[in-house]
Amino acid sequence: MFPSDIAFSYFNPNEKKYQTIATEDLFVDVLEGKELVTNNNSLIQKKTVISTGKNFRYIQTKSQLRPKDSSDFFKSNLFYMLLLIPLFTIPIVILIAKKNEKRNNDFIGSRTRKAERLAKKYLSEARKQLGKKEAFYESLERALHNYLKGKLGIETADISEEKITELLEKKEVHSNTINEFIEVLKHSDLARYTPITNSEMKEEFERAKEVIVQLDKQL
Amino acid sequence: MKKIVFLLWIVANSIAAQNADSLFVKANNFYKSGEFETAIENYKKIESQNLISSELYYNLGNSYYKLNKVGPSIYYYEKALLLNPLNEDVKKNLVFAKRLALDNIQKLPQTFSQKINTDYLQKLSYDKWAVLVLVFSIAGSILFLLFFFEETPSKKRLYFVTSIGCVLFFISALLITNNQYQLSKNKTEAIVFANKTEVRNAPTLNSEKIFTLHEGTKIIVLDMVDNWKKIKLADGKIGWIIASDITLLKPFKLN
Repeated sequence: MFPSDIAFSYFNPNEKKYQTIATEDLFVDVLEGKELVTNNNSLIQKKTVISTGKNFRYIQTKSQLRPKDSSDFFKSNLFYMLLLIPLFTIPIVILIAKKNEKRNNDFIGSRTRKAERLAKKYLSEARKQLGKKEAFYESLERALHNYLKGKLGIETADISEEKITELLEKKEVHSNTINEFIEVLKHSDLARYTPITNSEMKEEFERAKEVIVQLDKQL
Repeated sequence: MKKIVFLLWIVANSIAAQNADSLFVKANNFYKSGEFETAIENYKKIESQNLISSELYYNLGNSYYKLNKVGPSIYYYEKALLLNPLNEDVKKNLVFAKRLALDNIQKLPQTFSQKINTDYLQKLSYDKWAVLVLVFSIAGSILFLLFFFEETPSKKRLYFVTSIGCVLFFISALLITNNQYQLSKNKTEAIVFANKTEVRNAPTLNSEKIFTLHEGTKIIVLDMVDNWKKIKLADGKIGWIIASDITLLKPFKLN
């Protein structure tokens, strides 16, 4: 606090009196500064630890005794072995990974091959009849029906387009494949009564084979 | 039969170890009660069983220091440091023991690489450096495999950089290990045990005296002829000394 020691005296002509005005006390908040000296006896006097210079250390009481002529680890056989193991594991791991990848790829390949074999088996009859229009389409249709019978276990009697679609959808077969299958069936039905060339017949045969392979992959 | 022999060998070994441990405790007790000579006797019994440790040598050094025998005291401290260069107690007490030694030998100023060598690289023994080498080699190869099989580019980059870093560390650690190994195999140090000994300029008694050494001075052994050893001081002075006046910290091997 700054005490008000600035005063100004003057003569007021209105009141015909001498008057004195003084500045008001000024208060300042002190945030930092020298600590006030207080006689506080509870303060703990800290002492620095001074060594006498005679700190010759005592013996060590715990010890792990080991054989005197223990051989060096560096340049030992174990060291070389451990050093070479990572060098050998890198190519080995990479080779194994490559082989696994190949086998995985091959798994898909083998499935395709199996499906193709199956399709060939069912279509073998139709293949023999290639060229003879009536017989070819008859055997082609039969092959497709037989395939479904074998795969889904349904009777030839209740095979209709809707029924086939429904069944295949239940088996979660892709709709494109189902459409293709139905298309082939329809076409072979139709083709019996329309003029057809040999090459068209061949095309039809390939299509049927493709459909069976596709179906087999998904079933 | 082989199994029985093996079992017996294990049992015998463990008995010896137990025996040595109890000897160690016994010797420590003698040291505690101030019977330093008996303590030394017991410590040496352990050593004669071919069992050693940094602490054993340290305690031997302490006992000799208490008996005011500078030479053996420094000798055993140095031996303790050879086994474990990081033993703090040894380093502290070695300073005390060196104060008792008479010879004041100024070390030659070290080059930058020598300083790095003594200040950092020699903190680990070459066997510990060898372990570091293996750690880096395994870490490096694992990181390389991770890099090889990683698909994400950012992670792939990270693995690449870290694996390259590991390889670099691996190579430098291997070089350091080999360097430390060569150093420790080729450098034989010794402590002067004789109270006072003359160093001559040739391995014969009638040759010229060059300087005098006192008990407790550490020297490097360079060569030997008959019962003479060619030595080098820390300040670079070279001369011949009678082999019986010094004790080697480890067997000297002529290259």
